[in-house]
Amino acid sequence: MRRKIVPWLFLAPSLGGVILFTGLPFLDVVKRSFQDAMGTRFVGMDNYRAVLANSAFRLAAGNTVRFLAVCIPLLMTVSFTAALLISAGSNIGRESKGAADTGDRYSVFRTTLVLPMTIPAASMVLVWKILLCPDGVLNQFLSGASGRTWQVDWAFSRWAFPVLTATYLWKNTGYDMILWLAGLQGISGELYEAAKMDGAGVFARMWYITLPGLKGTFGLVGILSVVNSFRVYREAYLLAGSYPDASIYLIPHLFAHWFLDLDIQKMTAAAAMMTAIALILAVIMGMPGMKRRKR
Amino acid sequence: MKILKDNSRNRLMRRAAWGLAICLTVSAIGGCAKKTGPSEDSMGGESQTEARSPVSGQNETEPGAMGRYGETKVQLPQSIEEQSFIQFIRGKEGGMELYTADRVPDTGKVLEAYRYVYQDGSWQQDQGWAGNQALKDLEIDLMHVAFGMDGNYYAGGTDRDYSYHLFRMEADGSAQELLKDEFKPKNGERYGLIPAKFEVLEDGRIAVYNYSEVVLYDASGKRLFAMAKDFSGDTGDSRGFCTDDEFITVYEGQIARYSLQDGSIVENIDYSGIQGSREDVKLLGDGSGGIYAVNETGVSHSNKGGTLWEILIDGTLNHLGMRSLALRGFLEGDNGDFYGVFTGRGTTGMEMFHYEYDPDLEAVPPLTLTVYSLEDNSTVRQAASLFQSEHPEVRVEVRTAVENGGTVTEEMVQGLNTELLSGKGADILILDGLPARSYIEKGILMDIREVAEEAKDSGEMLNNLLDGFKEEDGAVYQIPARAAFPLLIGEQEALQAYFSLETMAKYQGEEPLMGIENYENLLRKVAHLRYEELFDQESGAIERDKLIQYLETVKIIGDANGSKTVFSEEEGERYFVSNSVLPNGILSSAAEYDRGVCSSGIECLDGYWELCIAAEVRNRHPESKFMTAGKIYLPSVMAGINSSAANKEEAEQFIRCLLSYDVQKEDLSDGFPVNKRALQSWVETEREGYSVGMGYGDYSISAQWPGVQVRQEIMDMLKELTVPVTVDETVMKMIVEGSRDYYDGKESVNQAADGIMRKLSIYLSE
Amino acid sequence: MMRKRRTAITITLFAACLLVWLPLLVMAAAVLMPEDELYWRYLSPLGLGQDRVRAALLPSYPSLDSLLELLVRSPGFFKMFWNSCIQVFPMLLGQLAAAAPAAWALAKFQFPGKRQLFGAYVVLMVLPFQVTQVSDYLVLDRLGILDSHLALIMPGIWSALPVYIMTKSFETVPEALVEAAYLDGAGELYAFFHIGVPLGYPGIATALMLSFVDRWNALEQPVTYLKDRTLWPVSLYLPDIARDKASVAFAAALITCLLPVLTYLNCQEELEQGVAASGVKQ
Repeated sequence: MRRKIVPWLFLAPSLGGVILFTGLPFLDVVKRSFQDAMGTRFVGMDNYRAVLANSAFRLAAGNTVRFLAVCIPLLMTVSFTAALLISAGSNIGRESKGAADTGDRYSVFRTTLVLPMTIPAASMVLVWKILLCPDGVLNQFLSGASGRTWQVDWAFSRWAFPVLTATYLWKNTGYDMILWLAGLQGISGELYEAAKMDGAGVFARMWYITLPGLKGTFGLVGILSVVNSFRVYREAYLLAGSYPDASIYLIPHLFAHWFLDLDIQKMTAAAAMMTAIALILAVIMGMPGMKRRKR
Repeated sequence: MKILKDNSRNRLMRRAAWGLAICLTVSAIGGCAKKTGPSEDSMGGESQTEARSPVSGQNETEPGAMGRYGETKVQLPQSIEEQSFIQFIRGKEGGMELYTADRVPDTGKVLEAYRYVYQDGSWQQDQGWAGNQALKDLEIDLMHVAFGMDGNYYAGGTDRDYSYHLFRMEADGSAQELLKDEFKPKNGERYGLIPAKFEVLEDGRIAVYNYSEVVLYDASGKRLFAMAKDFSGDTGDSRGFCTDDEFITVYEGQIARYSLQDGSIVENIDYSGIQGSREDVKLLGDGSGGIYAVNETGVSHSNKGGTLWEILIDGTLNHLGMRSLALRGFLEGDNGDFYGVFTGRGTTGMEMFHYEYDPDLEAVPPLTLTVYSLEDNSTVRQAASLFQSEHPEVRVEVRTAVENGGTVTEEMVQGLNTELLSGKGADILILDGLPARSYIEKGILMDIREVAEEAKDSGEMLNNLLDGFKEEDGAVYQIPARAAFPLLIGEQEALQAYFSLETMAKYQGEEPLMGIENYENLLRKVAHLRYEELFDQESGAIERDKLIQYLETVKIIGDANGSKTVFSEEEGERYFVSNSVLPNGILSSAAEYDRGVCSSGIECLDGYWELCIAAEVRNRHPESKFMTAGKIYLPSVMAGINSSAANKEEAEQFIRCLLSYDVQKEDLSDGFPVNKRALQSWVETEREGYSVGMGYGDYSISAQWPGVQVRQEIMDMLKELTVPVTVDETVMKMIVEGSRDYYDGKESVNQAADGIMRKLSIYLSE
Repeated sequence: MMRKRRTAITITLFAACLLVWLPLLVMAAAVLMPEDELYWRYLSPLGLGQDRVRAALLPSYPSLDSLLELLVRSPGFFKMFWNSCIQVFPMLLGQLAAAAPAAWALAKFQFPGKRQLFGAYVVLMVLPFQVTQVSDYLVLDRLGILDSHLALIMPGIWSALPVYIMTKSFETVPEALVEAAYLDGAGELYAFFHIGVPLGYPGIATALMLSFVDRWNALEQPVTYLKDRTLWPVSLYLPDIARDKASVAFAAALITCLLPVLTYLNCQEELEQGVAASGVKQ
């Protein structure tokens, strides 16, 4: 009996605030998606039809899905690799003699890789421009290496997609890596020892011990990567302006333009649909990260 | 293991040190921010009530909040209208004195100087003043008058060689020169120093204000020491004053108190609490160690030793905030009241206002009208000041998205949209740079056809400039308060090339059609000149074929005159070009035509300056003509009313005010009036001595106020313009960015057009 | 063999870290350049012209001019910096007070509707700001806190992301420990404060760090909710830099990210060790 009311007491402060500051606005968004722009008249499903028929929306949605499909696996792989390297490196270090300073060295790597997360997009944009503009470092480097002149405007051409992917990786790898590292260190070393004794190779150990042990982390990293992927708009906007190359024209671009033109009815309808899709995905995947209790 | 521990402890210590450093920085910043905190809170509180009232529809402020400074005009003698301002000071026995002069229009030489004294509530000329004669005998043009703390009058002025002289005016009417050698040209220089101001202390020491320092001399003329202040090139500068033992000025962005004993800084006072421009601020003492700071936002006061700035007079409510006026002198009266002398744009005449605390006035006018614009605009400020002096019950709050030339960002428009979509936002929107079309479609703007019709029916307006803003159903959502237009100058043959893209491309003169400039300007210029031919006026779109023709035409023009996307510094110096860009691309180019670099020039006429130059160029080339670019003009200061405005009636009144003669007659360099009477008065005004000039390299041109026929000609042109041009900035940007590689020779015109059309189709399908 | 592999790993990681260090060094060097050197090297990136970029990791003639210009002659910058502090730190405290207990409940209690509730938090977390911008504005207006620091602090406190991260972290607290505490007669609050908070600490720290960085860099919210310019945070200083002030752009960029970076460096050890510790006890 006691336990029934207690969780709600713990939840109360957060729940109250979330309902007021996020829940109610969200309901208002849903309501607006059935109204005209000024919220004066109900228009039924008109907004939804308009959005679905809108070619800019289809382009943006397609690009966004593509970006997620490319970047999230990539980010997870890169950050996982980094985590493995650091973990392996410090393990080896611990086993061999000069333990003290090796541990230190790897913590420097760790710190370094997380650092980009803390730096505002606006601060880095100037540096990216130094790298990527037609007169920039990257072109100079390529010209030097290949012997012919490179004058690619990286941020504004079809290279914009890889560029954006790179800035996304630059920024988020470290953070995901930390999460992986936590997961890795949670797997007991004795398991590895036992497997080694049984003659399991590196890949077998990876497949049968490491990956299953990281199941929980997987969901966490995945969701946070998605959340962070929406923030990539800031880089895209600062680097390539509000109408970038068609390959990196993402949902947030479209939303920004709709908002500038006061097309809030389209925006809310699109947002409601996106939320619905997210919900459906969540249900299918059994609430990602909502771990079953294990005992 | 032990080693590791120690290491990590060391590291922790180091980190703790870092942390401490952060804390120190933060608290240091916090500390100085806190000091000004309360004063800003009080201001913030005030502006909050102001901001809230129109939003919530509550126009009543709290009862009991009574009392504020009211402004009344002080009648000045009739004769002053023809005289120019010299000085406004307190003289013997604390009486207020105003010094003026009659000048020769062209040279500015002083013919006669006058002293007026304030007696029993009115200004009288002081016939007994001997100063005029004394200076005339010495052939000195009066510039400054001061009443020293030692009880003597002092005067300063320049001789025929522009050398400055400083005199003590003796009781017998003679003048005793002081600091004779200080103002003589220093070795190698042509002119000596002309100070901005001087003051004399009780013991006869003299403080002379130079550009970036104040030098103190003892009574015998021996230089004692100098005290640094921030640079000011203004010859009437009063950003500083002396008390009997201190000198107070602005130094390195702070108010500095200098000791007059040894010239050391006693104290620095933060004055970030003062709003508005801190460059144009006037400082004066309150007689008990405190400081008044006066600028267009009003009068703030700080007590001795205090760091709190309290706003005494809100300048936005009166003439202090009026852009067409310049505050020249400001004095405290005997009863906590103030007097301010202003001059207008003309060279003669001045106005005086008296500021007196009135306990019966509401502390804040009961009704607030808000005006929003992305960038600061002088015509709007002018109308706001005038509107408030006519409607004391209304406070006009002008809100701008950016200050001091900052960049307008998408976030700012989004912030405004949020308010508008919530049924809030300013009462009046200045639509320049805002998505006006969307606002109209979404019902954000109110139909103000009545205001428009009434204005048109009055016969006072240039109706042709307003007609273009009528929607198909007869509704009117926006009215421009200013209009500029491109004026072409050149020989008939060249001018005819402007009739279409085709003729522009085909033009084969001895000189290229237009002068050299960067491609972005060229693109923007042609887009504006051929607006009707290029763009669909509903959607702002452009056809692919037209786009290609447009890009190629610009390329032909650019190839002919040597334009580039970007110029290097050497090229900039060689061709007198820059990489800066104007929104409409119409860089002043009559001078290029005059130099013979190109066969036609264009001026974007938005004020007197360009016209003077253009008229002078035509004088130099009798074969040349003026022509407008079809019927296009560039409307600006487009005013609309928020359909959820709380004070619709006052908002309409404000727009009437914006269009009224009194606002429109001022030249604020943001366009011509749309008011016919204002334009007419401009045509009729003769301005002797008005002269402008420019030059670069070996070339120079100077021009006088154009003759009445020219002014009439311009007015007649304005009367014929009917096509308002507003090129969609999003489309323009796409074209500029998408064509850069084409003009750099890196891709073909088709590739460029494809890229632009791709983006454009996304934009249009949103 | 071991040694070789370790060397290989070290080299790989070092290369990866270079990708982080080099851009940051370029920025730091630019901060120390006098104006003319800055223009000589970075004319194109600054948008002032077109010229070959001459990137450098060290300034040729180090000078503190642009830093001084920013810190001494731009009083506005300080004010904005301080505003940022006022807006961010109370919000973090609020987040701690609201999100941690909620996350504890979601992680350690069984009650009907829990999965759905958690799902709702996840969905709200993914919504982009623009979508709820107008609705949020209406709520803030109703509460009468527009145009004050509270307009940024309040909505920030109830962000869903920290709840999510903290929940994930609390889930790793061993159930046995909690049960044992109950058996010893501990109350709910005791269990939360003495077992949950210490063991879930890494998640809490991570969540707060993330919120800190996110809010420190907020652009849309302050522009939308704060009309009064004197309340603007430092994140709005960067985009507002006019072209003629391009020389301080690098300095402003550096100073703006200094606090988040230093905070991270300062607590990263605790943060990471904590993260690791939580894993071990799973």
